[in-house]
Amino acid sequence: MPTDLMKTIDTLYLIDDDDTYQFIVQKTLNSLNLINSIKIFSNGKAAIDFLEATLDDIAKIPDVILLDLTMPIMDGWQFLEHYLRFRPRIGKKVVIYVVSSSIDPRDMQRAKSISEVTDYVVKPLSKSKLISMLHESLKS
Amino acid sequence: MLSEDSGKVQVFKYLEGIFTELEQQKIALDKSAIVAFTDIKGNITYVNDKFCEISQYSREELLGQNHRIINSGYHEPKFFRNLWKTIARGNIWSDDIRNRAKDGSYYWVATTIVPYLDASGKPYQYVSIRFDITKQKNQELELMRRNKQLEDFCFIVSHNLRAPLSNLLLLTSMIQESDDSEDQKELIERLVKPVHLLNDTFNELVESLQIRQDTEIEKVNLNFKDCLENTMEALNVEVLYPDIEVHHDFDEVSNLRYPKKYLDSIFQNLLSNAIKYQSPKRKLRIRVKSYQKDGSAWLEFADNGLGINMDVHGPKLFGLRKTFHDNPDAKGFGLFITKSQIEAVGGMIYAESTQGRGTTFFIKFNAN
Repeated sequence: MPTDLMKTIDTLYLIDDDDTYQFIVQKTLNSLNLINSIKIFSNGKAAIDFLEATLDDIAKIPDVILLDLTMPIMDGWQFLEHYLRFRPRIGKKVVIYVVSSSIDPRDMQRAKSISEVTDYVVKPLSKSKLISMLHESLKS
Repeated sequence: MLSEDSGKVQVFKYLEGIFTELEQQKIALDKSAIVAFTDIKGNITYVNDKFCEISQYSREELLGQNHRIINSGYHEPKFFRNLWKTIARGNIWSDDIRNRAKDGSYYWVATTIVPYLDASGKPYQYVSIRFDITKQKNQELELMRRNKQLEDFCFIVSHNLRAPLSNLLLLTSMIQESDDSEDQKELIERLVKPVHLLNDTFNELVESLQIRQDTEIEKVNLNFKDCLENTMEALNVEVLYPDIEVHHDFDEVSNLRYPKKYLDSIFQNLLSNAIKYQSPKRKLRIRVKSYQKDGSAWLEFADNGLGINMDVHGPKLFGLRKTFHDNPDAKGFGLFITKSQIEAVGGMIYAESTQGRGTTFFIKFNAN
């Protein structure tokens, strides 16, 4: 498919402290050619600080966020809390997927109760699942 | 006249029979149940001995008081609103209530409240009949607590195993799909870390599960100094962390009869914990001492490390944790295992800490 016909995602945030998982997702995304820029953060704090610094530049605000829950310094829940505070200042639609190893229904319920979270995905995040998530976020 | 008299006698005998039977029923009830009468506002008009006994109030203290005197604050206002709505309509209400005795202790009673109705069907007083179910209720609550604990255990274990397992699944499928040998080589190298993490996590899981089966574990005579030195050797402290100072004082209690595996694990987990959370601002200094107090041997393990914010992390300090990835020596089981082992042989462990100053762990080996 010629690239000019295929819509791409400009910026994706990958927020997860697992460097093996970071490597896998990055490699998979690179092979898909669907993302222009991937930003990787090992905890919520690094991501929220970066986001806050770029709030005024709409081009740098991510279109998709893949968010882990259990992380040191600032976990996924705290990230979402901070994000919701910025939300009114973000002038575009951001699709957030929580991607976690937890199958605890309390975590799933809590994630689904946050309207900004599009879906809760249990690891492993397979290539086909990742593709369907990206297509879903392109639609919105 | 004669026949009229004999009629009266018959009625009298009949009534006497009924009163005797009522009296017997009242005795039977008073002997078996906790009984109280209240007026329609809930003010106590009668209590039996069992009521006084369980609530620890004297009859004089209770009569005329509102029933709220024994309210424990456990149930929501809705619970009592529903109770009053039911009995005020003349219906019987029944449920379990937690009450508070005079000394502040709690007791559970299976309660039935029956309204006494006047000729027009309106209640004019209530009788409550209760049975002490404190023991059953506490067992039930303990069971629920343990179930919850087991559920948490299950979710946390599955999380900590799933994380490296997911990576292995994805990496192996990537290796299979790739036809570039350089690429494959890179992917294979990436397998090492999750494989080891999975193995370590699995071993800790097995260790923590074994504690339950170890109730008959053998106790042997152990020397604190030997155990500490062995642990430092096992952790390769002198080579890896030459700057650490470890002071010990085992003069008061030098030896202990204890499961060897558990004492090793106590020293190992506390030592590696102290190393892990040492302050970057100062040289790590650990002080270990043993002593006799309250009929038990104690071990005190103090460091001058980062310290823990006990308000935030205190409740979870000895719990299982979902693990982080860039902290390879924290599988989330360490202090949980230590605590489980100590408690399994009848002891206890707790910690005191000041942020920025350090942490001290206290172990009482035998709680009796």
